[in-house]
Amino acid sequence: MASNLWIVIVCIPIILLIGLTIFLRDPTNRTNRTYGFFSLAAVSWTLSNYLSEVRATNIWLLRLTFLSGVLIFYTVTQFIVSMKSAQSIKFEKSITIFKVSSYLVAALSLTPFFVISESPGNAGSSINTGFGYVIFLVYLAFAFIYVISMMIYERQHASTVIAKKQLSIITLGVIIYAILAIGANVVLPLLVNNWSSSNYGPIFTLVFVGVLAYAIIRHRLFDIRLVIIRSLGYVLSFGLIGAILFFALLNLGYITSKHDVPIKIDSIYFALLSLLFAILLNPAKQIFDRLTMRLFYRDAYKTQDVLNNFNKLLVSTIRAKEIMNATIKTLKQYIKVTNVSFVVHDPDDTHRTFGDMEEVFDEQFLKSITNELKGNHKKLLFVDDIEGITEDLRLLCLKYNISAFAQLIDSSLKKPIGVLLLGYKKSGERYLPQDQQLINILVDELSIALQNALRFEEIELFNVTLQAKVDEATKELKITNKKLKALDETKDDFISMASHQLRTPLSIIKGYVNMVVHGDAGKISKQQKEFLEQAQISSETMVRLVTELLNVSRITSGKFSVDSNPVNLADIVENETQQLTNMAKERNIELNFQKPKDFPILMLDEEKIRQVVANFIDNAIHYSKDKGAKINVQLTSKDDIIFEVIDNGIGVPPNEKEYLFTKFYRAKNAKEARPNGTGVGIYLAKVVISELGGNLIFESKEGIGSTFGFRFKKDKIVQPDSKS
Amino acid sequence: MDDKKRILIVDDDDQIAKMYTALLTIKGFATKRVNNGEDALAEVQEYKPDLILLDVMMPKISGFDVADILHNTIETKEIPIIMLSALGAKEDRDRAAASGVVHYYVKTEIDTESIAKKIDEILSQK
Repeated sequence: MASNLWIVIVCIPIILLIGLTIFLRDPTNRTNRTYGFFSLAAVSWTLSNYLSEVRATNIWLLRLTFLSGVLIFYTVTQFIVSMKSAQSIKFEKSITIFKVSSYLVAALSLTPFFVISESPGNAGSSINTGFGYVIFLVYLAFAFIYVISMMIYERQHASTVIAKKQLSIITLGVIIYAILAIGANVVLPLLVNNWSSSNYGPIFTLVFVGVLAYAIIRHRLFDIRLVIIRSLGYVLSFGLIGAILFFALLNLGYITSKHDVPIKIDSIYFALLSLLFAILLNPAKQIFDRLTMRLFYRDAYKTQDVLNNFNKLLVSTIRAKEIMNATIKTLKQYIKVTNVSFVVHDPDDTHRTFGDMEEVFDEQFLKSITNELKGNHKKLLFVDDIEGITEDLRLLCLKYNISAFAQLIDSSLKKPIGVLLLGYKKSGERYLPQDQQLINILVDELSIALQNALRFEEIELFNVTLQAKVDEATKELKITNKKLKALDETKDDFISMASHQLRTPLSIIKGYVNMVVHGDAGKISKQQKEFLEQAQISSETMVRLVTELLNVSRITSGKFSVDSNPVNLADIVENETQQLTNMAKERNIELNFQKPKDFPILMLDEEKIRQVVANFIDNAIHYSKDKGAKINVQLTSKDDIIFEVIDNGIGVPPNEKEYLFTKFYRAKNAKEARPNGTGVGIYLAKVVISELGGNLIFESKEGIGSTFGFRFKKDKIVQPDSKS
Repeated sequence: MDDKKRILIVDDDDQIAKMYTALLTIKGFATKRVNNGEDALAEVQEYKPDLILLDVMMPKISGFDVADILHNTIETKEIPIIMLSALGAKEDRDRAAASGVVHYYVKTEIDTESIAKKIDEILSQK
């Protein structure tokens, strides 16, 4: 009977420990929970079985034993049910039926119909059972068949290889357990009418637990491998040190194997050995920890290290592609995910896929995922855990091998940036709490990094677009500019050609008229001479105009140049003034000029400066007012050489002053006063004066008068005095 | 009485040539006209003018080339040349000067009386 006690003492703690560990590992997980309940049921059964042996007269203990038996079956089936993936709905109805029947039989076991009494016997007690027991047997048979068939079905339809393996082992374990347990507790007693074999029940439970432990370690069921391995480390180190000490004590003769001889231990040696034990324990434990970790747990990683590395990668880039690559790399390297993909939302409602799913993405899938994410508060969703997942989504996830997805959100705009899609882990096992925690943090960090990268992309794109538009506009401008230049050249060419063509006939007219006027063709009357002189004036005007136009075109084409010869400016001014006096008189304009004495000779272009002088005086005449017009022509050489034509004419409007000296420009009031002006005269004057190294003099007040002129520095002087 | 001084008029423009012929004839000169440079060079040898009135722009050989050749030929070196141009650019003046042409006038800027006076001046200096 002592052996029974040993069995109970050993089995119960182990079952409880493993049950508790598995339960605490992930209380939210149904599988873990049902295993916990199974452990309780197993412990209850073990205890009540033992106690019913010891206190054979207590009916209730017997009943409790059988109740526990039913509960064991019930919890095992629930355990199996929880292990099936959320996918198969095949057994839904039958599970409910099973549940109900289990409750019924459990209740039944407490009734007198089940166990009537127990009568102690010599070779162990025998139990008198009622007809409820038959129902119980039927229930057992069905339950057994039901569980086995469900397991086989699940195994066939398991989605991953790892699930298949797990289910195979568990099926095997359950079968062995059921056979042994039922055999020992039900069949054998029926046949032999001896219930002593039921005492071995706990051992069979232990066998089942062992099988489970094997599944845990080898095929990572429940993923409590780490716990087991650590415990292994502890056990081995304790065991080793303990064994050493035991043998030391033994050899020192302080412990004998006979239990009736008292153990005599010298307190000093004992104390020393205890100290040794304490000192050696930790290093030994560390050694074993490392060993077992290296042997069994190669997939471990430190979350903080991974995050540090990941952060380094994130910080090194602003490109969305590189961020996504870094994330994929990290996930694959540490969590050993098989496929990772990103879907990024672009501003114009299009999407970009990146990663393993790049080629095969579809719109429908994205919609379903987004909907699912909207309705769920969690950031990271696991396909297998989604309650009430739509069939479409489930199938799509299956098709694309997606086991989890997470929403990436722009923290400031609260808008979704995209979705992260994860496949299954390479090992096939679930995502650990550590994995989930890591993924959650990664998602947060990469959301921020990605949103920055996307904004950066937007800005870049904007820049590129802007640049392209500017380039295009510039190109257009350049083309237009070219056209304008060509047009300008054409115009200038035309002017040049026209001027040339006009010159020859002009000179001929001049020539002949000149000859007749001078009497070379015979004597002419006074009137004839007068008329011809008028004709001459006009032809002179024409020549002047043509020359001006030609000069303008030369300026544009760069062929314009000024000569530098000794010129008597005083004479020129006198000449021109004289020539224009008649015109002035006819318009009742007073034209004054005082020729200065001893005016120096200057290095100028005679012909061109003459044109300038003539132009200024001519303008003054034509832009005078109707009454009281007065023009003063002044020439001085006191400090600088200054030539000025001062009039009291119509003046220049202030807003037109800056344009006045440009090619072909005519002020509004000038156009009115003289419709036939070319707008070329003072433009030429400006160019000539500038080419000669002088400065233009211009002042004007609209309606009051103007002053036009030029100034040269004294370095233009050739001789101090003019020679007559 | 001296023989009339002979003036060779070289100009491809008929109107211009006609006018100068009329002018110079009235002024008492003998004139001959050719309308291109080649003929001019030939005619100089034949006609032996006292002065040449030379247009710049002509087909085939330009007035400059004629002036050059005349200037570089011993027999014709001394004959004074008056160049008439529709242009007036400085380079042209300089070029003419390089060929020994002292007198360069723009057609429209000089009137007939002045030309006639000038011709007189030149020929009286000879």
